Amino acid sequence: MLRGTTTSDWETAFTFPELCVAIAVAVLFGLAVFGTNSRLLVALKTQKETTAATMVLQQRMESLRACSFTQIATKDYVKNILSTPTGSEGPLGSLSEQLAVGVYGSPAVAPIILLRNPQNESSPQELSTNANLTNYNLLQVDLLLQWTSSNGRTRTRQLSAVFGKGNIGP
Amino acid sequence: MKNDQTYNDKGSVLVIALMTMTILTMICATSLYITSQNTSAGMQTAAWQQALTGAEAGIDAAVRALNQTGTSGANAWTNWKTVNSTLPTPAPSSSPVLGYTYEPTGGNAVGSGSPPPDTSHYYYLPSANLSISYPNTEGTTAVKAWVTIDTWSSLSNSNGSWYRVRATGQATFQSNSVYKRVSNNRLDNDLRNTITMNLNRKGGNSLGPTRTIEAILQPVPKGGSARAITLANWLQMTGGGSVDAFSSPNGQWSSTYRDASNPMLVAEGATGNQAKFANTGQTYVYGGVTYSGTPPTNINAGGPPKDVMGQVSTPAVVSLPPPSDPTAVSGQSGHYTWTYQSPWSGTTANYTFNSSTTYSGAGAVPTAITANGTASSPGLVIINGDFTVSGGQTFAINATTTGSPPVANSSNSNVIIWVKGKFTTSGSGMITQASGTNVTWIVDGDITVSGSSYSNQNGTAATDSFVGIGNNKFTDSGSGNFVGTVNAPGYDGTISGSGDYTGGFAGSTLTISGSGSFHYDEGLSPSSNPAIGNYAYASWFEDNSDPTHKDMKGNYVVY
Repeated sequence: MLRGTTTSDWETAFTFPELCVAIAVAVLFGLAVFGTNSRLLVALKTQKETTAATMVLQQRMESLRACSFTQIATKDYVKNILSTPTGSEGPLGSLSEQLAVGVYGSPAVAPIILLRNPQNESSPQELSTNANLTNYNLLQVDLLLQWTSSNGRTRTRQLSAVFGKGNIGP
Repeated sequence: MKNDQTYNDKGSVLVIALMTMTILTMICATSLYITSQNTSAGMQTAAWQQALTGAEAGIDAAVRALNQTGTSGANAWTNWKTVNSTLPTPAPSSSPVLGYTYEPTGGNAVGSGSPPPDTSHYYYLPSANLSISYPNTEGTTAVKAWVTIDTWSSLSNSNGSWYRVRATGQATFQSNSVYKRVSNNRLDNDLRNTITMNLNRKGGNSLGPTRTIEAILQPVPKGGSARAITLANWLQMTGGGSVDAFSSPNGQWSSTYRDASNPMLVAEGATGNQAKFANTGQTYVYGGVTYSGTPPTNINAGGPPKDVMGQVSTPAVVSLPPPSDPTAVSGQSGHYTWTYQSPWSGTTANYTFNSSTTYSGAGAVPTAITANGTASSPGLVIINGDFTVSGGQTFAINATTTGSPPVANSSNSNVIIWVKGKFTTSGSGMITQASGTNVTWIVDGDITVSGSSYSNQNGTAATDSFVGIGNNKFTDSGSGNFVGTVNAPGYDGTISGSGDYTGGFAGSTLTISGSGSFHYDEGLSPSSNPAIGNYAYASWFEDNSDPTHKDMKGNYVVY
């Protein structure tokens, strides 16, 4: 039995609205990728800053740990330590370092507070002082870093320790 | 036959585009995931650092408490608790996981003025009493530390008990912090000492990095660090003499009063290859030796008898501050000031001389002087040049007397004699220091005492002190007994006679080659005084072992 030959030619194509939707989706996706990439770059810079801040704090704390109790309690001595730039502070924009030496458990006692920032880089500013901290047994040292991150956000890190009288020296 | 042919010209651009977008989306998501985890891990690292400072703070709190016990102990153990058992090691019974140590619980408050813990107790400081807040900063909100002190194997020496201090610091995060649980990375778990999702192997279910430091604290007695023979460098003993100790309050030395248990009679700071004991079948040191550098030859010779009977340890921490000459007061003739620290007692004395007697030139020195002055304000005699008492000559230092018949007034018979040259006695020359006097010689040159030429009639070393300035030589020879101390950190010493040396010697090097022996007077230093001046670190390390965690090779993991 002969059958008739049937030819089916599908010549479908995108309609203009379809094309518009596709372009819109592609643009949105491109924007998302761009946003994601920006976020990744920020995150990477944040990591770099976090690591740098950790190293700065570590260097400062090691310098203080090498001091005797009397030296920790002496404003001029710790000021000299804070005057020296650390080797890791490069990635931290507009860095300000605050060093506070107070009496552990006695916040009412006036602490020594020194501030090193771009305006007082080689000679930290004395915000508060106390010449009698050697009279106490435990001193709390707070190191506070504050800097402006690459995305303009202000970031803060802290490292604190307690120093006891008679540890590595009088 | 019908030819059924279909032409499908349908495009696949959209499918391919969607697939590409999906793949790119997954790549982006993965990148974000990894990056965010790394960011959090960076903050965890920071918290790890903060936990260490917390642990160090715990050690400081323990040292402070121990030190304050030795001074004014009333408030030394405020906030500390005591438990009537030995420290649970490695894990308290209340530990939820075997092998992991958590903060102790329970216990009673340590009473005011209580002594440090003994073998049946341990003290601990709860973390509630040692915490530091981290307000307004990224990551950690607080660091807390808990500390234990125990006696650990009853290790002790004559200065007192040693103590083991364990301090664990933990950084904590806010309960909703993304940093509490940050990644599936094994390293992150290790960093935070995490066993499972919600259990920290040192901090229980409080997640956050923990770090533990263990320190062994050695008591340091009040006073100076010098003992029988304290040398910046080395000691050689090759003769027939020995070194032992006694305490002068018991009387003058005799073998009856020998204290063979003194843990440190000889301290050698830099031995090199010159330090030695001859191992000739005799005991050289009836006590302990500590050294730095190359072990002295035969220091561990087993005998019998052993060359060194007591403890042999290293390194030696030798700190001998160099003494200096008196300083003239500007514009005031004959006025001087002098600051001197005894390496044995550790006390520092500040003298002010408002007058002095000076002798210049050979033959100018009289044959006798009278020691007049109190201990805090002694007389000052200055000898410009050498001081020599040669054969046939005598020099007497008499006491100030009082009453009739005259009796020596020892409280007013103190004198300091400053020799700006060499100090020499020889042959039958004789210096007699009367009973009741207290004499300090400051010598700027060599010191030579030979023959039976120095008679300290007090019989106690504390009353006759030689202070050597600069780098010179000290020689003690002959058959006479020398009773006194020599503090000359820059001097090379030789004891070569048959006479004994009773007292203490602090110098650069010392050679004992004669048959005379060296008797250390424990009364010179407070080693016999139980008062503790401080604690020194005999050991310090971070306990980062995991007693149950093994790697693929079966080795215990240490992070």
